[in-house]
Amino acid sequence: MPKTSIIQRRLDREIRARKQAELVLEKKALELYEANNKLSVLNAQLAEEVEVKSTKLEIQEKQYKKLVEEASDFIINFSKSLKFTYVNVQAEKLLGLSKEELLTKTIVDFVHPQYLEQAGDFFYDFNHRELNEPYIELPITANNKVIWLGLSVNLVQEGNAEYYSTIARDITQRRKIEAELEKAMSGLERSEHKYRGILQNLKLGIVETDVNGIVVAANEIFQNLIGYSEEEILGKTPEESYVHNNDNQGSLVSVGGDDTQVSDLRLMTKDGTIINVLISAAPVHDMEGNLIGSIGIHYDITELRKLTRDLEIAKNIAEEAQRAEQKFLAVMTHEIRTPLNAIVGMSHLLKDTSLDNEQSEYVGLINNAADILQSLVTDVLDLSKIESGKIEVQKQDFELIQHLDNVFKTVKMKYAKPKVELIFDNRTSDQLWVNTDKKIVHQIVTNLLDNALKFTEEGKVALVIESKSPTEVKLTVTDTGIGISENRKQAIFEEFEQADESIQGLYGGTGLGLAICQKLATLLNTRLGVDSKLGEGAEFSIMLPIKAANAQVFQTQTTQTELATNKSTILIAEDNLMNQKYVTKLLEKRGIDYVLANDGKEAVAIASQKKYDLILMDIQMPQMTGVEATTVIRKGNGPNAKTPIIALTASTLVSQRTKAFEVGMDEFLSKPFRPEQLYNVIENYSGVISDKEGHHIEIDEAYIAEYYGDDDEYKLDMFNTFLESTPFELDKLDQLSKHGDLESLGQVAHKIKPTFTMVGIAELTEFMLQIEQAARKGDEGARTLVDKYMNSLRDGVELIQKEVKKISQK
Amino acid sequence: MKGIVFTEFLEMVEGTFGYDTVDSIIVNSKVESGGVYTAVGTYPHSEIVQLVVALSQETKTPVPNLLHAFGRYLFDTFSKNYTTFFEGVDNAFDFFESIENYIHVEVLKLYPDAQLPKFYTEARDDKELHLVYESDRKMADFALGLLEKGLEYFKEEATIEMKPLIEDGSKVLFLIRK
Repeated sequence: MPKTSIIQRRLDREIRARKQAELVLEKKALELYEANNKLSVLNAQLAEEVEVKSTKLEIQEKQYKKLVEEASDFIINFSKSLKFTYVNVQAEKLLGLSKEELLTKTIVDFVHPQYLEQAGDFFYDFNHRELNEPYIELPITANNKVIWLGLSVNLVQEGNAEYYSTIARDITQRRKIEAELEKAMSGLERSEHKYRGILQNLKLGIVETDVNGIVVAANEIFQNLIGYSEEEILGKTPEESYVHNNDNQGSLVSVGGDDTQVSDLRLMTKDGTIINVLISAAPVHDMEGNLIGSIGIHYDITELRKLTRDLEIAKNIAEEAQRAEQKFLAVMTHEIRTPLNAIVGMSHLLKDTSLDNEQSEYVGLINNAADILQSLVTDVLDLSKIESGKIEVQKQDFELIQHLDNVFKTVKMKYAKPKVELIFDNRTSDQLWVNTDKKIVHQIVTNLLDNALKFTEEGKVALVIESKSPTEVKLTVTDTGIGISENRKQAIFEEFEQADESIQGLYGGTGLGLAICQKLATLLNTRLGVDSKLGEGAEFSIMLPIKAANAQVFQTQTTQTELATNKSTILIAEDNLMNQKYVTKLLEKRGIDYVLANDGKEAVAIASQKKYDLILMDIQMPQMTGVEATTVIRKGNGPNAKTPIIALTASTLVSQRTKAFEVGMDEFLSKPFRPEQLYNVIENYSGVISDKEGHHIEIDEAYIAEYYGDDDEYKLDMFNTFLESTPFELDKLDQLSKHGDLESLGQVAHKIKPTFTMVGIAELTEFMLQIEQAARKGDEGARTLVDKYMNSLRDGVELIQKEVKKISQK
Repeated sequence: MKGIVFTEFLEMVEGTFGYDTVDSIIVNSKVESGGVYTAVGTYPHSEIVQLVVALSQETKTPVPNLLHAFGRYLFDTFSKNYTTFFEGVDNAFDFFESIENYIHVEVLKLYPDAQLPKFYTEARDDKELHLVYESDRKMADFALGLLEKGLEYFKEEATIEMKPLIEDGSKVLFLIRK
């Protein structure tokens, strides 16, 4: 490529580039010029605006100045040396001096001297630290008046000069009101302090809640009580923070209700301890009477509760101990009876053997002691039965006079006191129907008569029956005995207490008789009355209600009684075949009807069909035990709910017997039992009159085993002694009967009586007793009885002869 | 694109290869402006590309090398003409970071229509600076030349590694390690 054209092109490019650059620069210059013009305009506008604003400011300043001059507030400026530099018109008026005069004075000239120090402190603080609210209230003296001013102070800087600018206001009126309020408040405070002190000492926790039940305040005692600080429970309901979950029964106070409520709650303290509190909550109202919340006063009763619980536990223990004691007594006494019976029986037997005087005396003493012990045991048993509630009152309609006559005759037979006349004195009609417990009346009257006879050596003992009103009959037992002194009249009804301490020595006895009578009387809802003077005999009486319309009742009742007697049947629940045979045979011998159940379940079924007079219940049975069966029968409303139930048990476990009593059994017979025991129970509980003719006599092996054990030699000896005397005595009995010598007949019967028990035929002893009692009464019936029983008696002798042979052949 | 880039580029070409080459690439590239440039003017970006491509063909030198060399060359011009940007800066890293945050901001004030690449710091500690170059013009090699001369200017020694973040070179990471 030619060099020149390159240079030409280069030049051309440079020129064009320069022109291009000139164009750009010219354009830029124009832009600059225009921008400059614009700026000039802006500047002019700005200057104008500044002027307008300045004029406005000037006007405003004038306005402000005028405002300051004429302000109702006092505007006072003073220098750092507190000299006035400016005051407005209001300030002039206030201070009573012209502006010119004031400018020669200082603020100190006006401040009340007592407050000068406070003012000085304020300005010191003002200059040395930043005050949030530079404000001070000072009293000033002007025009001979004290005026309180509230001053807002500002430090103003103008060039190098500094001065205070204050705006002050007359607060005299406010100060006055405040002073009065303060006075009133201090009174209030004192009063509040006083009540606070009282509350503090009362140790009452106080909680305030709003209408929604949210805690808004709690006092220190309450905080200490629950272990939470006030902050921790504020804003929550008591249920949310400290009321024990289980006691969450809504709000503590029924909001809206006007009543004060007292409730008993458990609270959970912060550490998890549960405390009991008594809360008295009352609604709180504002001045207009609107409900605004409630206040609850909490009293800590945790200790009290604990004490109550402890006392309850102690009480339960004591009661349990008492029950245990009674049970123990009942069971023990029962256990003592059996061997005791042996001692009584054997010592009676012993007495009838040939003894020398000394031996006779000893045996007499044993006899006596055993009798006393026996009656003591009986009494204790009775007493414990009453106390443990074992005796259930079984009311029935019966004719009182005949019953009392029987009781009287029985007692009369027992005692032979030639110098004491026994009188049955019925001052009412021949027949008197009552509805009460026959057995209990029987026992009370017997005890009272026994008692009267015991303490009467000479004179009379009488049973008086009087009708004091158409609805009541009074039974009185009077005697001419030693009597009771006034101060012992109450004591004699106490257990183990007698009229005089010497009585024990003279008359013996346990001191339980009257206590038992009184308790029995209580069971019949009556009381035993006593009237006596020392040395002039005593009078014991009880009142019994008579049945209305006696005659009518008599009619229907007679029929019922007959029916009951005729239809008397016993239900036997027994699973063991041997035992079934034994019991049924004993009942058959006495002609007593019975129904047999093979187990408890069957017994319950049969018992639900019709009423029985007595139920004999084995304890250990399949299907259902005797205890279970009894429970069902007793709890149901069947015909036998009240029927006496006798437990038959081979167990000697006291617990089992106790269980039997607990489920409502009336008595228990230990297996093996003697026929006599069974008959006694039947008689006691059902009143079934047994036909004693034509029964089968047998030796009670259990009894023999119990008393002689394996000692055959001893047994033989005893049996031979029996055989040596008894056949002869029986002949004698027969003879005397035929000759009608009742007195001798009674004596011989008495002598023979215990020997049959000794050889294990207690049944025959029973017969002998009947003969003896009849003979002593001079009852010709005794002779009939001898005829009736003689075969059985001779059978008994024969039985023993066979037994002796059997033992000898061993 | 600002005219100074063109005038400086052609000055470099002239200084290196002589005006014949300048004339040759202008003629060959057939740029619309006809190779007439003034520093205060503004010209299409495509023209510099055309010129560089033409120079590459003319001198048988790859385009990246040319851009790299131009970057180094332009730094000297900048450091002479625009000393204000170097005032108060005593190290390369601070200076590199000021490109995006200060220099480009000021350039835009002067030339509101200027199209500038993004050139921002991704990470930095005492020893290392990571700068990201992002531009549709894909002139990372040009940037590399500028950076190298920057280090020399502050008399600092460091290696510069280029990592394309997008393959076409529109986004490149510069790892500058002391």
